[in-house]
Amino acid sequence: MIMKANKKRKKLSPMQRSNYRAFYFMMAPFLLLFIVYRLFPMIWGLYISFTNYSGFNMGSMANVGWKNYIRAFEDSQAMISLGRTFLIGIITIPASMVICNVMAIALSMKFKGVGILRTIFYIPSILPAVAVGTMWNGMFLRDGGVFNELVKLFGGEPINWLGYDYIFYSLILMLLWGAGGSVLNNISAIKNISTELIESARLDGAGNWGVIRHIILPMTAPMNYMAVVTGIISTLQMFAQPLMLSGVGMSSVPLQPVYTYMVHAYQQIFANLRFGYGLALTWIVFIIMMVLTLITRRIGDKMSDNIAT
Amino acid sequence: MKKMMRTMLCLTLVLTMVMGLVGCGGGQSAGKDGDNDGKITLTVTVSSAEVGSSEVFQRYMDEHPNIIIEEVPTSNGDTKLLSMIASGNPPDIIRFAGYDELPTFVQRGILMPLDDLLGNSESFNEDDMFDVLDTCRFDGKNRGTGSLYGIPKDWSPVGLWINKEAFAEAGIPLPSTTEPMTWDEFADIAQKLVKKDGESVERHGFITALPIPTLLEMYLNSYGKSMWNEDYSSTTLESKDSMEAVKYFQAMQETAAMSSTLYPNADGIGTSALNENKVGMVLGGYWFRGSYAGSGTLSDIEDKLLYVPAPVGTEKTSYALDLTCLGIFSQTEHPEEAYDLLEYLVLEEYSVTTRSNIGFNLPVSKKYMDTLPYETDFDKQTLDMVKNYQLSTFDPTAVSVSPWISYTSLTTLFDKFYLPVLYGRSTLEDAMKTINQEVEILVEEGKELMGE
Repeated sequence: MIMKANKKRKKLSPMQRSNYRAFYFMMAPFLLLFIVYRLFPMIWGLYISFTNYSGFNMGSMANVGWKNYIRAFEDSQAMISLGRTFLIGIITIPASMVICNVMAIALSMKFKGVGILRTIFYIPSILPAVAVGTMWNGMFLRDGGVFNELVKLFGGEPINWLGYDYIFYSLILMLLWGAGGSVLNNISAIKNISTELIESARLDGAGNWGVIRHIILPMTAPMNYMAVVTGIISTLQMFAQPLMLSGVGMSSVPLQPVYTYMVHAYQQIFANLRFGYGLALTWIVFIIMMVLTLITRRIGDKMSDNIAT
Repeated sequence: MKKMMRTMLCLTLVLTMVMGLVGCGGGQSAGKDGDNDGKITLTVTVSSAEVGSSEVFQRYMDEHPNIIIEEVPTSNGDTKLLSMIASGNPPDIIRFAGYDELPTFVQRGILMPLDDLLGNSESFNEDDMFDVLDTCRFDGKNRGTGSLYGIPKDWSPVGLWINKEAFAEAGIPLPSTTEPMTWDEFADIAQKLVKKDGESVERHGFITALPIPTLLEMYLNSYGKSMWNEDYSSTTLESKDSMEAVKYFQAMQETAAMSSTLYPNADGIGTSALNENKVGMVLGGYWFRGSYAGSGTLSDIEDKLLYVPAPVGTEKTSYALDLTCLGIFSQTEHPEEAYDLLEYLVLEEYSVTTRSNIGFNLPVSKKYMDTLPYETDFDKQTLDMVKNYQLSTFDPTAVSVSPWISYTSLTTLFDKFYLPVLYGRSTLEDAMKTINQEVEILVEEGKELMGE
């Protein structure tokens, strides 16, 4: 006990003190910016979500308790758009992972031009959502769009890709185009797998599929876990993509099949001037993200334990 | 070690608080001083392109060395203006849509009444102004009465631009430039102008930048009706007249006579579509000419164009539904300086003629009408139509909107619930019922917030 206390009070050497000072000195700008630009707005937003703030009534703003949060569950448009956003995630996250893993395995091989291919597959993920949406809007145009020109080339009638019947699939296609975001992470994870491990597996009779299933996939699981978590977050945050794809711009709404939850929240704030309610909607989605991330983590841990045993 | 960490955290928090307080200190007060040797910075949300050129701003700053103009352009229904106000960085001079946005902006206390400032002005002469000024008068419910909250930057009633080439191809005689066609005649012509190759639309009947609710109100008003009830607390969308009006536009959208998401045209305004003969008619004001003039392409298109009156019902009225006005933020620290700049932008010769000389749009002051182009046959035809028909039938107070809901709310409600009707995913009755219900909820909320 005394020893522990002595250990606690152990004085730091001048060198250690200097190191710690340097560390916190270097961290201070980040902490400051984080608090000012992230934490403070978040807390302010949380406070506003319990008020009837409309953007102009700061002086007469009133506390409305949980009303905005209860309203979210009574608002059919909010719940339907949340369900629709989940559906988009349920389709795109697993599909993106499959594409990503296949691409990573293929691009971790050695062949001519692999570097260029890696760059090409990675580029879509670094383009801004607004640019991507605008570009795909142009390609999906009913008259003059690339896809319909192809359809016409084969003698078909033009399809209204951005109309009610097809826009959901157009959005999915656009999102999957950007699936290569995690490819580089997966490639580096594959490159870190010891060749001895793969060779010994092959000596034990494992074929290509066996190596992928029993070595590559388990060893890249942390990367896939990360991809799932970021996929959940970015899907629930999806806002600019449907607006830009529809070509309606920020001050309007896309067609119902791609009317996502965050579009609904944005509409509440900027079209209907329900700042309090709109912010409550964003806090609800934040909680959903937290819960889903924890569930994914739990599943990921269980899978890692199974692999380890 | 812990002590050091605590010290660092405390320091960070204190700095944060200080920065936060400094940030909050500027809240809701426009007109920033101090940082520029005592100069006053006036933030304006109208772009230099919209006032004619950047020279217009520069000249004012040269003449007023104590003023710096900061340009933060916004467009109709733009969320940027709301963000600026909500975040405590409001502009001094606000650009707004006279028809759509004025009632809500007044009701929410965004715009300052200009009456006191006008009293000290030497340039403001109401007798020399067109009636369009009344669009910016509002008494909390009706237009045309009450205080003045803005001045139109420039304006024009809605007319109809005819693509003569398309009419010739379709074998349709050109419409009269002095007498308006009826809505039925208009629909008939629009249908005939449609050119399709299978399901591919090569030419739409007409295009307009006006949203469906605005078109509905224009249509209904020309029959002496409105989509609003008397006190603007609800709509008449479920009534027989309104349903007929919606069906009128629905039928045109379903047959590509009018562009929509069903048969889209990438050009929302119609200038490039008209260039490429992809549209037969464009419903828009004299500004449509200005779009070509501004880009220096008018000479390429003028032989193709004819400007005629917009369609009417039983009432022969012209409406200014897309006019841009300038007003002053209610809490600006420099109302007099802001008003002086506003007056310069909308009434003084240099800035007005920078726009009117190229036929950008009509000036609000009658004395500058002579500066509009009147050289070519096209110039004469367009301006004669404005003078002889539009100005004599113009009524600034004929149409209005509910002051309790934002117009963006209304247009997005139509996007949300009316568009599925075009795809057979909902019935028109259900859509109008839902829109009406949503409007009533928003009106109630709006009234509650205004303490009514």
